[in-house]
Amino acid sequence: MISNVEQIELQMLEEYERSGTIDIVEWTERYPEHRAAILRYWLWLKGTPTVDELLSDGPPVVADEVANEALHEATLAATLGGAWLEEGVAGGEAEEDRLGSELEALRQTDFRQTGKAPKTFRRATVYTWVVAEWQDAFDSVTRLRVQKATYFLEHALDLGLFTEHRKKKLGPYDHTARYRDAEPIARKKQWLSIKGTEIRPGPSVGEMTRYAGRYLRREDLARRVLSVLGSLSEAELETWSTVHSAARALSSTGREVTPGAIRELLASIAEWRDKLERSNFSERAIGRALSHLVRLRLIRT
Amino acid sequence: MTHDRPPPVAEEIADLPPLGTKACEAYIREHGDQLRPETLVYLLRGYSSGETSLFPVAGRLLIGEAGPDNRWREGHCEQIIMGMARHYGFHTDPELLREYRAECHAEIWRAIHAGYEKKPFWEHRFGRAVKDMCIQVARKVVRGRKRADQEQPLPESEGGEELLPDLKILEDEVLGRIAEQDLLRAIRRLPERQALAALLTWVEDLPIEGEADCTVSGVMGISERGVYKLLAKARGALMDDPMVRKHRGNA
Repeated sequence: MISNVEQIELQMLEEYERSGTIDIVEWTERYPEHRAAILRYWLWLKGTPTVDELLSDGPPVVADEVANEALHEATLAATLGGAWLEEGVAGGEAEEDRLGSELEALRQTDFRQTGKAPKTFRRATVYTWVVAEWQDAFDSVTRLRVQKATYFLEHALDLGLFTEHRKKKLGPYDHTARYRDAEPIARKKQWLSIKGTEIRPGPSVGEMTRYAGRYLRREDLARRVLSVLGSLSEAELETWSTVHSAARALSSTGREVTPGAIRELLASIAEWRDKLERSNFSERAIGRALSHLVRLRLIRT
Repeated sequence: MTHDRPPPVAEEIADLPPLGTKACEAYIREHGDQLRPETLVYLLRGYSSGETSLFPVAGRLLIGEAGPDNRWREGHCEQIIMGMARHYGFHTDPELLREYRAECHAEIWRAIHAGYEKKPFWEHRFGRAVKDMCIQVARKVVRGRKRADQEQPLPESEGGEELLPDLKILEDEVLGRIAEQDLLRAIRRLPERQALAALLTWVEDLPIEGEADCTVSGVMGISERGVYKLLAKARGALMDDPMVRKHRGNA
């Protein structure tokens, strides 16, 4: 099924192909929650020849080894199966872009956790949901992964649940989730089984599923966020969450968010200074993390 | 937007012999060059999950090939890919053009492999699906190059601060001289929010502020002050763009 943003883009293209232009004001009024995606697409669609115009030009003069290579790879993949044809870099970036657009639109709408369940219960539910979602991807999920997932779910979806992260050695850390509510509650209810840093679904994990949807606000978007995070190593998760936290601190003081500025800020924080000696906090690694976070609309540069 | 195949495509598919049969193989070899690209995508999707011997045959019909003089023949996508590459200005850089074409072709096969459920449009309006893909790839390629450029250290200035001309003069004289296509190319190279503000102000000619929603600030959903700040940065960045510099030289 194609996403809302993809549908809107294709509708814009259809109108452009029919009439040669679109009224950008009208489109942003029609879908205000997707205005950023609409404007971005218009930036690249505007002024382009229509498909009919492109096909009426004479045949191009160009060597065919690029096309032959792609056909050859596709034939191999059709015969043998192959990761080459899974979502490529472009597909991954485009998906991040679209997801980011949808998350941004969601955060612009009002939401408050309602109902009688205490916040501690909701936190335990979402914490467990992350582990349950990842049980196919990982034999066991580490506490670090769950902590970073709930950190990003909070910032992506504005859940109002995981708002108490502190600066610890491996990045933003929710001490309360570990010792006071999410883990202890989930363990007591047998939603989770926890040994050291490894967390697995417990025998009663199924009970959680009837609550999770309402606390996650949009379970489908939350799932897509987890899909992005699930492809990262723990070192990358540490980088992304630390960079995100630092970027927010820079933005809040009106400073420009750049890899250099982030490294400067990390150097000024006692708990995080040592990170600068590690390869996952090189300027390049920070730059890569920033690119993803900007695409996901979790920070602005 | 309909999620059904257009009637001509649906009819052509209905007329095909069953996939994987000798009759179907004979049909494709005899009539393949007359089949719509949407039907070829349908066949390729069918062949990628089962009988695969005709996959390269149908694939070649879809993409075409270069003749002895390198002039492209047959196929349904190369003209669109190359036409879009020319529009974005990629054709002036052989390495960039190659990168762009390679990624476009890769994306065609990814979309076919993704299947009808995820990518139905490729069996509805193939040409437009290819064009949409060209747009997405162009964004990715230009962003990738911008990031690579940003990793290069900026050259040290050689002493003395350059006095920047009045930026309003840039807007009124230089921007007015630049053809829209060239201006768009330069704007697309800007950081995204600056690019959007520049697009709406200097290409769409929207007022920055005003009562109605059809202002730059209204469309972007940001304050007027925010728009002015973005435009100031955009002007500064455009000053360094090779396209704009060429025209500044004539000021």
